[in-house]
Formats: sequence, structure tokens, C-alpha cells
Amino acid sequence: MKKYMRLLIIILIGFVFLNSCKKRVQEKTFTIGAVLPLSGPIASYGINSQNGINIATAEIHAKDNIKINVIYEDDAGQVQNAVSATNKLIYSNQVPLIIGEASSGYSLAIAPICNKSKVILCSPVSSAAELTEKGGDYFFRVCPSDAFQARILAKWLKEENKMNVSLLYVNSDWGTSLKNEFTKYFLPEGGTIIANESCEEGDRDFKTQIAKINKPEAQAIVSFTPPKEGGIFVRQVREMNIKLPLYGGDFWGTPEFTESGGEATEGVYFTFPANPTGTLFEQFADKYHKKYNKEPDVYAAYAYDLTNIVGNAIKSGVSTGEKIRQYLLKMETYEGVTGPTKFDQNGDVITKTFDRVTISNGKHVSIK
Amino acid sequence: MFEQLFLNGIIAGCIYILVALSFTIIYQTVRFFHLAHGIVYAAGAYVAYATFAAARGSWLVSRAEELYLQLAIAIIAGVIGAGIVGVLIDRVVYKPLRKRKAPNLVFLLASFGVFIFVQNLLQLIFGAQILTIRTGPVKEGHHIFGAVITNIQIVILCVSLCLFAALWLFIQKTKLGKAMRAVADDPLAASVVGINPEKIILAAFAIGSALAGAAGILVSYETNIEPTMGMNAILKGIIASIIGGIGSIPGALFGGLFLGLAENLGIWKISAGWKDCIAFAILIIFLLLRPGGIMNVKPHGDRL
Repeated sequence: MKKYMRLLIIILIGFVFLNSCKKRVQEKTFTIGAVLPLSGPIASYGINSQNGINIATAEIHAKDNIKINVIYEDDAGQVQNAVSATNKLIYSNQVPLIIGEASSGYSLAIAPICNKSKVILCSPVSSAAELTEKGGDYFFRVCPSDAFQARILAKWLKEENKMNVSLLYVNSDWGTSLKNEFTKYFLPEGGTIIANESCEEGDRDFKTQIAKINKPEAQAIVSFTPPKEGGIFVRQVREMNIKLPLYGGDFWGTPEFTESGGEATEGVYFTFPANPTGTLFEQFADKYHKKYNKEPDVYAAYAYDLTNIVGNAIKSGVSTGEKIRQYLLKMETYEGVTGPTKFDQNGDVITKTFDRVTISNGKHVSIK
Repeated sequence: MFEQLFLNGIIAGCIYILVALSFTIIYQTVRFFHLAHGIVYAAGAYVAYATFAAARGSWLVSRAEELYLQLAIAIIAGVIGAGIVGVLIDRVVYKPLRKRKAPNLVFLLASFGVFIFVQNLLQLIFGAQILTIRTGPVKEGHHIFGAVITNIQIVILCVSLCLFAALWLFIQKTKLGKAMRAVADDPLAASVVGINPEKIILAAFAIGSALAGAAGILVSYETNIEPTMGMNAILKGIIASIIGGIGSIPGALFGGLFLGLAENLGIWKISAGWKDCIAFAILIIFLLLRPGGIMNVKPHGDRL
């Protein structure tokens, strides 16, 4: 009996070995890392990005026969977890490229580690203006820097002749960088910020802030708030009978914002990365809907584009962080679901612009 | 401006009081920090949401009254659901620990573990995204005394006041309420006169958890539902309890009201970002200068 068992095990091992050999001949496997918030308070950003990455890797596998093996690390909403996960991916898994982080603050924390080891860090979400410089040589991102949308919003308000505004921003890297850029471009145009209030990520009660920024001379309220907070904020503004027009940042373009704010989101204005509604995006949205039974948000789309760019880099034969960096800097403009992507010397995307969008009957409508 | 901030403070205070009261009812019988109470609060909101979604799916509303009926069913289910979750946590986790006479630190760690476990469970079942139980157009608030109040806030005020009164009557007048107070005062003496402490603990978990569930449902009407809503709630609830005097029911009442008003009036002249800072600064000041809280509660004897 024992003899047979041994024989059986040997045969089994042989099978497994042969099988793995066969696979290795057929396809190329490439391992990269991803550090994202997959649980914790901002888990939805990470999970949506992960969905986008998974769709892209499955397609690359089917189309080019390159298997991109993504090692996901969850930061669980703690920056120290992001740091240790990055170290693990670089030193233990020895990946040449990491997709991450979602929150700009976390990207700022792990970018130096990646730069030191010459490992590419590329983010689908982090848009804080300061990452342009502080991200270092090895930081890339497919989302445009916040600096740009705050500038567009300032110009927009000037064109609408709304020069007296009240401002509420979330006290995070994202919120403060938008606020600073907005102030920088709005004041020289002759604008005035009448009231300036902040809130925290996770706040659910904005009534006191609203009471403070509700000034009779204000012509508009500018609110740089994340989706969940923003949705509740606009609802509470409307509940307090304030009819002023509301302007927000790209976070307001997420389905979560509309879900959270409900009907109060009707008629709000925000800036949003251009072209998320082209044919390519619709195809992507179809695939996404089929697989996850919900609409993709901007992070999923960015993550999808990013993974495809990484796939192209791998296809071209580069494998080390340094080589991938050269590829990314020199690559031709990539036409993706979020529009064209081309990186400048800082790793910032220079080809994307922001649309002016409003919400009408629950749908996004671009204002030309 | 003052009127609006005062009203905001009262409404925030009502929610803090509900959480602090429900926390205190459990704390005074078991005498450890039941952190998982925060997730019971979230679970109540989720059960209400799931019931409401199921009710809407199964029968179409033709009249407004039917919608209210669906809502009422959802709310009752949420409150009972929270009570069951709380009792389950006690029976499955705390009771075996009590039998083993585990030290307080073990209870604290266990309750933290339960908190994270249930939070992730909720996230797996319902997803990390925000869920909203409200439907229909935004209703504008009413103007009273120079402030704006919404329908939901009026409901929060009325329901909270009714619950405070009901709880007060229960604690003062009923046999079970008196037995609870006896255990809170002196568990040993209470067991000598024939009060079964396990029974009292069971009742405390059931009532406290149902109350927390009610608070969770009220908040979910105002600001939506998400898995992480419990932590902030229990933190503020515990701060309110400590400010009022830990383990004291009138203390929870005063502490919650004080915290709500201090937070909202405190940011009148300074930036609203300081809200949490004010809450924790008050906590530290109380811990240093008046550890017994507003009610000046004396440190208690042994835990059961």
C-alpha cells in the first residue's frame, strides 16, 4: 500500500512539473506589485483600481500571451502598512514596478523607497500637485496633477463672473493642494474668497461649516471634498435652503458622489478629466459592468489604462525599473479609455485636460 | 449664526447621548470598554437597510402610507437586529472570557478584535461603498428661531427624547431596571440578594445594543451608511461618557449634550477643522482635572 502511495505521489509530482514546464514555454510571466487600500475607510478607491487592473491583465494575457502576475498588498488605510508593503515588494518579491498608491499622502511616503531602489511607482489616483517634484524620477501617474484643474476652475468662475466665492476643502493632501492652487490662480484674476473652511475626511456633519460659509455676498460655493463627504455636503447645503451654485473637483464625478448626495447633486458643477465618455471608455464600461455588475469610476479607468501601458512596456522587452522608466519617458502617446497619455520629465501626464461638467437627471453633462 | 450652531450642537448631542447611554448601560454591569459596541451601531443601520431593500423589492408601493410601513418594518428590524448582534457578541466572546475570569485588558482586546471582524464582515456582505436608505427629492428645512431644521433632524430630536424618557422610566420603575442599578452599585451584594448577574448582563446587552442600533439608524437617515461609521460613533460616545462620568446614566446625558454643544459652538470663531481637536482636548482636560466627570463618579470596585 505504502509503495503504491509513493508511486502515486511521484507520478503526481511529475505531472505538476511537466504541466508547469509546458506553461513556461508557452507564455511569459511578469510579476509586478500593487499597494492599494483594499480595506479600511477608503477601500472603495483601491478595490475599483484593482478591478481595472484585473480586467487589463486578463486582456493582455488573452491578447499578447503575457501573464502579468500582480501581487496585491493592502494598506488597510494605514500609511505604515503601505511603507512595509512597499519594502516587502521591492526586497522580497523584487518587483521592478509597483502600482500605487491611491491617496497622495501615501504615494509621497513610499515614493522615496521606490526611488532608492530604482523601482517604478505609478499611481492611478494620486493627483496632489506636490508629487510632481517630490515623487522623484521613478514616480509616474496617469491622472493629471490637481494644479491643472484648480486653474481651470478659477478660469471658469471668472468667465461666469462669480468673483466672490465661499470655500470648503477637505484637510488632506488632495484638498489642500487644490485649495492652494485655486487661491494662487483665483486671487490674481480679481476674485475674492469670502469664507474659507475645512473639514476632515470621514466627517459626516457639515452643518456648522455651512452656517459659517453661507454669506450673503457669496455668489458661489467652491467645495474640494471627496465623494462621500461631498455628497452629504451638497445635500446638507440644499436642506438648509441655500440656492447658491456649487462647484467641486474631479471627486464629484464619481458614482459614489451621486449615490451619497442623491437628488441634491442635480445641477452641481465640477471639473473632470476630459474624455471619459468616448467609445473606448464605453467599451471598457461594458466589460466592467459585465464582470463587476457596477459602473466603473475614474480610478478603475485610470488603473486600466495604467496597466495597459505597463503591458506595452513589458511587450517591448524591458524588465528593470531603469529600462521601464526610459520606456515610459520615450513612449508614444497612448490612446486609452481616459484619453491620450504621454508623460513629461517629471512623470506627470501632459496630454490630459479637464472638462467642465454638470449633473442633470443623474447624468454627467459636459459644458462646452 | 448662533442659533444655527446651537441647534446643530443639540442634534449632534442627541446622537452622542444615545451612543453614550447605550454604552453606559452595558458598561455599568460589565465594567470594561465594550468597543465592539460601535459596530453594533453600524450593524443596526445595515440590518435596517437590508430589510428596507428587501421590502421594496418584494412589494411595490402605491401609496405614501405603505412606504412609511416599509420604513417602520425596516427600523424595527434594525433595532432588533442590533440587539441580537450585541447579545451574540456577549454570548460568543465575552461569556467564555468571564468564566475564565480574564483580566480587563483581555476584554478590551477581544472587543477590539470583534469590532474589526464585524466591520470587515459588513464590508464583505454589503461592499465598502456608501449606501443610502433615503429616497426621493431633497426636502428643504424649516425656519425656526433663525435656524434651519430638516424633517429628519426633527425626527432625531423627538425619537431621542422619547428614548431618553423610556429608558429613564425603565431604569427607575421596573424590577429589571432596579436590578440593573443594583448590579451596577455592587455586583456582589446584588448576587447575595438573589439577582442573577448573567441574566442582568444579558438584559444590558440586549437593551444597550438595541439603543445603539436605533442611534445608527437615525444617523444613517441623516448621513448614509458605511462599514466604518462605527468607530467615530463609539469614540465620541466614550468621550461623552467619560466627560459625564463613566458608568453614570445622567452623566451620559450631560456629557453627550456638553460634547455636542462644545464641538459646534467651539468652531464658531475658529476653523471647523478643529472639531475633533476640541472633543479630545475636552476629554484630556476632564481626565486631568475632574476624572469623575460632570457627575463626579467615584472609582468603582470589582468587575463581575
